[in-house]
Amino acid sequence: MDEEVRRLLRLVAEDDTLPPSAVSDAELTGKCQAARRPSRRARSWRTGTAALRTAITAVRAARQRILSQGAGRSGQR
Amino acid sequence: MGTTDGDISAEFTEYALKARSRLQRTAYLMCGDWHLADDLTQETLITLYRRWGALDPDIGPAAYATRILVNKVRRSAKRAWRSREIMTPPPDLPAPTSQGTENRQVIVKALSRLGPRQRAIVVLRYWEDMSVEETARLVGCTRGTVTSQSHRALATLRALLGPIVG
Repeated sequence: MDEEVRRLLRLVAEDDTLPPSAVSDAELTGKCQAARRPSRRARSWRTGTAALRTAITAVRAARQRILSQGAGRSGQR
Repeated sequence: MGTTDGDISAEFTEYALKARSRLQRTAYLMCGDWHLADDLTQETLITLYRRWGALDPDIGPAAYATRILVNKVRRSAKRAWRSREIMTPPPDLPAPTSQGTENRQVIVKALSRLGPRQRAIVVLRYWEDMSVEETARLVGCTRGTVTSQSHRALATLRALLGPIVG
């Protein structure tokens, strides 16, 4: 029976009348490469996070500057 | 070591072009729909490519690809069961023109009478020629389950395909 099942499965799977794939080899590899690239959402998230980090650093620096100027003035009094 | 995206891409393309046809035929035996098998093969290769740089070299891409495919076929069978809408077969199925074509359709129908796990076990054991151990690992069950399920599946096929088996 084992050999018979193998023969039957080959008969179905190796059917030459089955149509070719709807997607060419080149299209398929293109799809794969596109899937590996980070999505627009992921890229946008990373850009947004970087911008936020820069903004936070700028605010911290400004705060520090203002505080040190204030300390200087109070020292002059 | 020092594998670039270009190397990964070239290696993967070479593998994918070689493996594609066999994966699609394996998927076809498991799901019984050539067009769905085409989609599942593409999804399998896309999933495999995402992990390509991190594959265990001792296991090899073929085993990974087969495992991904088996999971995708089983998931698609569950989805199809939940969202069954198409009540008639697709219109572009070739009408049986010869004894061979008719036999093929009878065999596909008989395979569709098996449960998804039994079908996967039969296909892996008798089309992919995998051992009981490999099949158990890929399907995610014990060796005993593979043996008992393939025994039951063969009994069902024998009953359904008696005239073809002869």
